[in-house]
Amino acid sequence: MKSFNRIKKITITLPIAAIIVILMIGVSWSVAAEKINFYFPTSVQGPLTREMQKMVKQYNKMQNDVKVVATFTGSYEETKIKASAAVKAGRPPAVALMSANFIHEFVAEDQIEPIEFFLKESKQTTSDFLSDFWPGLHANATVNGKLYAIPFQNSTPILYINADHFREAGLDPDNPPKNWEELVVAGKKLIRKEGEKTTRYGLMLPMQYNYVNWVFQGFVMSNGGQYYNTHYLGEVYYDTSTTRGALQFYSDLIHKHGIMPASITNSKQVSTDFFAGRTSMMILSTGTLSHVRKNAQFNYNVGFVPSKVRNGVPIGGASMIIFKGITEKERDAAWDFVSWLTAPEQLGSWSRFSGYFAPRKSSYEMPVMKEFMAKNKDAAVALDQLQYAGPWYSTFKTVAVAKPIGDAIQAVVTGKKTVEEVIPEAQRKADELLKPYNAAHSYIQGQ
Amino acid sequence: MMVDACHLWLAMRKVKYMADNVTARGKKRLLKPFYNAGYIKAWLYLAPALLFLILFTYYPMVQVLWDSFFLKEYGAEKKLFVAFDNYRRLFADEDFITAVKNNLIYAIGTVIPSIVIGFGFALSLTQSSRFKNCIRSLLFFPTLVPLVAAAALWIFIYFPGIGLLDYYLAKLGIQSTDWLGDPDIALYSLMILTIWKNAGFYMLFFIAGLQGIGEEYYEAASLEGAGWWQKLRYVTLPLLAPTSAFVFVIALIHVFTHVDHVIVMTLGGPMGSTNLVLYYIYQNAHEFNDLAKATTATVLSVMVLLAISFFSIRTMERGIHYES
Amino acid sequence: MASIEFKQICKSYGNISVIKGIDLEIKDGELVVFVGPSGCGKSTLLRLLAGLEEEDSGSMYIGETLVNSIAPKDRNIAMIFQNYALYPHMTVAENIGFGLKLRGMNKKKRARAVDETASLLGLKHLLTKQPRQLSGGQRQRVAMGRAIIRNPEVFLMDEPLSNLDAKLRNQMRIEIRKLQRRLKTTTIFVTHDQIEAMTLADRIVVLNDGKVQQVGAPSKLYSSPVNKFVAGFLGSPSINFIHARRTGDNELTLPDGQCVLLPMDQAQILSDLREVEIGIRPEQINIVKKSDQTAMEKNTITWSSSVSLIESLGSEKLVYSFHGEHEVAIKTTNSNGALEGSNIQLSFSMNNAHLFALNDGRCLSPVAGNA
Ligand SMILES: Nc1ncnc2c1ncn2[C@@H]1O[C@H](COP(=O)(O)OP(=O)(O)OP(=O)(O)O)[C@@H](O)[C@H]1O
Ligand SMILES: [Mg+2]
Repeated sequence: MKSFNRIKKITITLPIAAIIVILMIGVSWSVAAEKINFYFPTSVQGPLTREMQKMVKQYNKMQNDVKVVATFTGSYEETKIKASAAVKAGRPPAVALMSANFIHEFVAEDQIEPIEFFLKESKQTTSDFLSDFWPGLHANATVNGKLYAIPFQNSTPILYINADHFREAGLDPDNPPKNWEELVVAGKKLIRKEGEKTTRYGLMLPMQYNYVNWVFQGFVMSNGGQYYNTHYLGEVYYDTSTTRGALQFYSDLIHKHGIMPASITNSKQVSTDFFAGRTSMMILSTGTLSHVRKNAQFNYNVGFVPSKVRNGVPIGGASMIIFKGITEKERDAAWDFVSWLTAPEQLGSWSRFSGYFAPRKSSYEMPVMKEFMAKNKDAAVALDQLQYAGPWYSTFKTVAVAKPIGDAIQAVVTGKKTVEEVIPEAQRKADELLKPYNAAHSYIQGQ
Repeated sequence: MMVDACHLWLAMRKVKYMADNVTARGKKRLLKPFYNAGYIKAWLYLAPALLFLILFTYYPMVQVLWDSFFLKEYGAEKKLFVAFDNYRRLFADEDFITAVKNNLIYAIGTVIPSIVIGFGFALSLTQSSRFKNCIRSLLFFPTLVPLVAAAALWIFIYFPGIGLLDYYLAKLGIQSTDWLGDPDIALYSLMILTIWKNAGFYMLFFIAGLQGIGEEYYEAASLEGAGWWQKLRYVTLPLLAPTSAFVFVIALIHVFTHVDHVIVMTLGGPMGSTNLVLYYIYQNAHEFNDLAKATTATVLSVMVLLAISFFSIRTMERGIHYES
Repeated sequence: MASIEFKQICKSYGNISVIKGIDLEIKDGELVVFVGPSGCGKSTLLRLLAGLEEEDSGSMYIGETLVNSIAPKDRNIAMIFQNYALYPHMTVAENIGFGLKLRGMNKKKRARAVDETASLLGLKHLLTKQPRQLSGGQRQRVAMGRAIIRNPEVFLMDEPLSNLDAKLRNQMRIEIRKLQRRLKTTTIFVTHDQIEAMTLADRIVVLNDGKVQQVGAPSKLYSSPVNKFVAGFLGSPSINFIHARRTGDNELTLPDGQCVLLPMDQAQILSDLREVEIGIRPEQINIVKKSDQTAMEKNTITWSSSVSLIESLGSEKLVYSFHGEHEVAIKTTNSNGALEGSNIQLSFSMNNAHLFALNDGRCLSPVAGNA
């Protein structure tokens, strides 16, 4: 019965894993190098996938002890599914690039090695090691006070504006709206209508599942809140004034001011509409920067996500993890590869290529990077915003717990329900989901 | 899709084989003792297929059923036997109820139209001529496109404002619509894609079925005084009943086993409005880490699919009597 | 009830001409049998009349009405197909009543009509059965029932008995004959089987190669075929042909060198033909005792040959022998003690023979006395 995804996935993965293993054994007899598997996702296929393969090739060439076999495993979600399946099949990859908010799930299942384990061997302390990484990144890499992942590529939401529209509306394109009030004022000026029909919106946000939560988290943070407990996986703050306020702001932007459309636009639609001039502003990931650079046929500018009581954005991205259940030799090989890949140089070049920012501060001290930042002012803005960045939403059963608030936002955006209706419901559903975790961990104190 | 087609073909053969055994040769045949050499040979031929069926279909089915009575609480060392508690949790889950409701709407809204349209195509294209063969291939084409690719294509068709659909609707003066973003519309948008994709496939079955109806039945009807509609009503439809039943079952199975477009186009949203049962299972198994719930929902789906299969075998049996 | 008329009907499929200008009149109430070899166009002609095929040219009348452009359903014709075309999803009663239902007759009246028809055909006990539960003969009867219930003007039957075994076939043939006599519905019956043709027909139409060869009462066709084809087609076993060369005004020489003199009136018909074929029916050849040998009459042909096979039909025997190289069949009640392998003396009188032109097969001599 092909209907059962779980079984399907396992039955597909099993033979594939088996073949890979057989190949590995076969080849390792003839070559001395330690062969390890590396799973990696990309959010955009094509150039990034090729670039990653190129870096791995470079690594394989420069030394003779380790041979990394890099496998492109699809989206962030698919990579998680494939890695879990491989673990269940008893053949985990040595290394994977994993979405930062999924890390703790692997920890809960005791499937990945803490990074301390490797740092000890090279006589580093965790805090020394972490001090080179942007502070906002620490939380997502840490579970119960232990470091489990090394950030590799990161992004935050950022405001993109059409500078030509700004000028035409009598606004200053060099000063994008800084706070919610300015956003409303600018937004209203930027709207264009033909009769009842809006031909140009002031602002558009990605509203599809997952992305919607991430951007919304930024607004909650701007509003002075945080809609989950950053230190404890079993608690969310949906039914709070800060979360309500942010959602009410969405509602006002749409239903009161008409600045945003009342529809569930996905990120692709948002960027397409931005390029086509059907919206003057949008908030998308900094990971979209290179894409915008290439496709905008007009002058654009970037700015911080507008603040209410403070600036605040969540950090998204992916980190390197090393799996348990592999041989000692493989583990050493994995650490060697991961240390190389997360060295300032590699992180810098990946950042310049992809548009993600580099998680290490020292990457930016390198001359090539300084030159690049000087040339690309927009990248500098994204980097500046980092000081206000916080960790990415991550709880027990992250995706499931995120869905009620995602549904709530979508309901308000489309005008199906009011803020007052959806917020308690979302909180109730999330609490229900978090119950088993709280039952098991109620004695655990925060980090 | 090719794999699907093979599946289907195999399923058809299997069903037909079973039906043959039961009707044509009499029920006793199946119970004949083992010493019959032909019988052993038959089993030997079947063995490899059977082995794979047991290994990859029946064993997992039993395993899944077994698992549905257990729950591994977070942090617990072992799975606990919880009897029917997973089922209780499942039916208490609003998302599951929504998915079931959506699936019912989706089933009714895709199965009937795609069968009717497929049948209509078949009726107008039975006699082969070069022109009609060409049209047939065109109509069959969507079937050859993998659902994932079709979904990716339709994202652009549905793109609000500038998509193909809105582009042409705009020429008729119809405002742009958020086909996939409006929770009231999204499910119907997916349904249209499904109909587009499947109608041509069902057409093929109907063409085969129509070509199996002897010309003399129509000639006799003409002489008896039947017009176009009466021929359809009294000759074509009844004689096509076995084919229709088969297509109906295939279509129903499609409904419960295909969610690629949901994954590509809407992720079940907005607001759960396009969540289907299989996607719900997928989400719970892989995204929500609630394997017990996924397992339980799987058990229920298997039951529905089994019921459909049995229904299909019975109608096929009945169909065979028609070939007097 | 109606007469039927074909006028210069032509039909071709692609560039193959199948029906080549047929003229035929069938009287009201007549039972006409179409015979001819396979592929000669019998079915096509029926289907043209039924409106299931469209003629290329010519006209067809049923009664006074020109039916060329009338839809099949309005021609008031019933047809019985070779495989009966009974609907497998309908019961016997529904099959029989189908035409009435389509014509909107109400249920009660229909049930009564079905009942009547079924009792006429002895199908009453089968009304609730489905076709697949019936024997061949029963199915045939249901097909008949479906045809007669509407009381159509014309019955068309395309080899309706060919799927039945010999015994059932004879029985059904008699039933059809009786039924037709009773209903007096104009009927065209197509068959390959000449016994069927001979016994059923008021008149037989012999078709070959899309053309009518001869039309007439069975006995007429048998005794005076207009050409070699008709002579050869009717009669079982087939008529024997013996080649002959003209060696004088009224003298023919057979391959074995025997000469016969024809009466002068027959000789006239030969005009200037050099070669002919003598056709002689098997029952017109006699086996004569050697001792019996009478003086050779002027127009009697006698020869001796060996017996290759004897078949007994009960009262009659079929004896196969030779004339020169050619096998000849003899049908006789008196085989005069002939045995397989033995030598026998054979003779026939030219008075009983037909002469055919070798070149076009036309018959030269209507046999005297039998016409
Ligand atoms: N639909 C058709 N298309 C092309 N040729 C046809 C078609 N129907 C019949 N023919 C040809 O027309 C000729 C006459 O066919 P028809 O069926 O009338 O013969 P028939 O006398 O009924 O033969 P039989 O005794 O075998 O039934 C045949 O040569 C046949 O091949
Ligand atoms: Mg025929």
